[in-house]
Amino acid sequence: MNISQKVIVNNIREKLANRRDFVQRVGMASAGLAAFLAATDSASGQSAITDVDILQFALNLEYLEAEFYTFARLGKTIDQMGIGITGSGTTGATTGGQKVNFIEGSTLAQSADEIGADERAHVMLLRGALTAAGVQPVAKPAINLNALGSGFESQEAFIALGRAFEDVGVSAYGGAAPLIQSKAYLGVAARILAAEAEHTGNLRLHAALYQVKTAALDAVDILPPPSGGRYISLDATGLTAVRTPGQVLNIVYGGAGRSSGAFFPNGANGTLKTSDAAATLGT
Amino acid sequence: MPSMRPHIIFTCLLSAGTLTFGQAPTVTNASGANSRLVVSPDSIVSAWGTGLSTQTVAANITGTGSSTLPNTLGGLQLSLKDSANATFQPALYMVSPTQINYVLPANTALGTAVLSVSTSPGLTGPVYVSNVAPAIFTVNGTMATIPAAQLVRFNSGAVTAVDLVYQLNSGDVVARQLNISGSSGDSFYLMVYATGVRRHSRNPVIATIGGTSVPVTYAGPQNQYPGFDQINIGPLPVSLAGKGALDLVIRVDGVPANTVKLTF
Repeated sequence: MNISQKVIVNNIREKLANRRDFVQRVGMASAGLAAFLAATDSASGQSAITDVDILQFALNLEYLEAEFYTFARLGKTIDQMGIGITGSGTTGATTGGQKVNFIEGSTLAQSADEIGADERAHVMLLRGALTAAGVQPVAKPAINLNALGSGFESQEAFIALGRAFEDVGVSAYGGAAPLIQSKAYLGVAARILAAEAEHTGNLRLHAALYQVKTAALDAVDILPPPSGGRYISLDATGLTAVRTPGQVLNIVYGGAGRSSGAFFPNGANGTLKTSDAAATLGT
Repeated sequence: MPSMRPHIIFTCLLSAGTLTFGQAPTVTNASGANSRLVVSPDSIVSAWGTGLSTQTVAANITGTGSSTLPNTLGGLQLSLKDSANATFQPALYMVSPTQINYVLPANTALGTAVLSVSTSPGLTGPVYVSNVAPAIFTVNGTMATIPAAQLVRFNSGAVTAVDLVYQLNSGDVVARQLNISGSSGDSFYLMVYATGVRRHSRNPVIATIGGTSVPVTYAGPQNQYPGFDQINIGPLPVSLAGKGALDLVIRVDGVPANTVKLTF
C-alpha cells in the first residue's frame, strides 16, 4: 500500500469507528453544500454524507475516465488490463469504446498514454484504500462510452470528450472538497484534483492546437479555443469551476433528476447517484 | 530562399506505388508522403484499394507553376463527405486501379470524413482528418529513409549552389554525403518537401538533426503544387560535418513527421 492509500485508509477507519453527522459538525453550509445535500437526501434518504460516500462517488467517475483512455489507446477495458472492477452495487459492461487512430509519437498520443495510466492508477488507489479499510469499493457500473455518439472516431473527437471528462472531474473534486471531513483525506483528494487539473490543462491546449470545436456542458463550463477564449479553465477570480455530485451526474447522465442515463445507463453505484432536479445545462 | 521544383517527388505522386495492410478496407486513405492514416486538410493523400480505376492517368501539371489540378481524371471523380456533412470533389494528381493521389480540400472539417470513388458505389473508406499531419516525402521507395530535400549553399545573401541529398547509384537512390564545410562566408540550409504542415499554429516548428536543434526558418506551402509543403532548415551547424548518417526529426505542433536520415 502506498502513502496515499495509507492516508485514505486511516481516515476511513476513523470515520467507520466514529460516524458523525457531517452537517451538524460543519455548522454552516454554503449554498453549494445545501444543493448537494438536497440532492443527496432525495437520493438516499440520508442527511449525512461520509467521506466513504464521496470516495465511492469519485470511484465511479474514475472508472469512467479510465475506461475512456484505455479504450482509446489500447482498445481494451480496464478489466482486460487486470484492474479490479467488482464490488458493491451492480457490475456492468463497458460498451461503445474503440481504439482511436493517433499519430504515434505525438504529444497527444503520449499525453493520452500518461493520462490513461494516471486514471487507472486512481481507480486502483481508491479501490485499494477502500478495501484495506474494510469497505467494499463500488463495482464498476455499466458504462456507455458512446453516449454522445462521439469520442473515438478521430483524435479531435478524443480531445473533445477527454476535455469534457477532465474539466468535469476537476469540478467534481473541487465541489466535494468542502464536504470532506478529514484533513488528511482532503490532502489526498487535493492531489487527485491537481492531477485532473494537469490533465485538463493538457487536453485544453491540444484542443487549441488541433482546432477542436467544443460545446459547453453547462452554465459553468469554460471552453478552450477555438470555441472558447481560455486555454486554462479558470474563471475571473482565478479559480476552477465547482460542481456538486448532483450537478456532475446531471452531465454524465445527460439530464436532470435522473438516477441513470448517458454514460451510466444503469446509474452509478453507491449512495450518490441521482442528478440534480434542476437542469444546469447552459444555452 | 528559392523554391525548387521537386521533380522526383512528382514522379512519385503521378505514378502508382505500393502499400501493404494486413486486411485492406475497401478504400484506405493515407498520407501521400508517409502512409500514415491521419491526414490534414490541404495535404496530399493517397487512396488505396482495388478496382479504383480502369486506367492509369496522371494530371498534366508539367510547367504549370501554381497549377490547378482536375477534379475528373480518367473519367473518375472522388466525393468527400466531411464530419460536418459538407461534400467536396477533391483535386486529383493521379488515378490508377489500385491507387489515387488527391488533395484533401482545404475546407474539410476535422474529424472523420468518408471518401467515395465514382467508379463503384462500394468503393468508400474513412479519412481521418486532423489539423496537422506532417509527413516528409522520401525518395528511396519502401526504405523511406532518404528525404526529398535539397541542400542550399548561401554566401553573401546569394544562393551559390543547390544539391540534392540523394544520388543514383546503379539505378538505386542512395544518400549523398552532404558537404557543409564550405568556404569562408558559406552557410547551408536544407529545403525539405512535405505535406500536412501548412496549418501549423504560431508555435515554432522544431527540427533536430542527430539530436542537435536546427532553426526552422520557414514551414508552409511550397506554392507550386497543391497540397505540397516546404520546410527550410538552417543554417546547419558546421559541427554536423563528418558525423555520418543522422536522423532528421521535425515536429509540428507536437506531432512528429516520419523520421528520415541525412548523411554528413
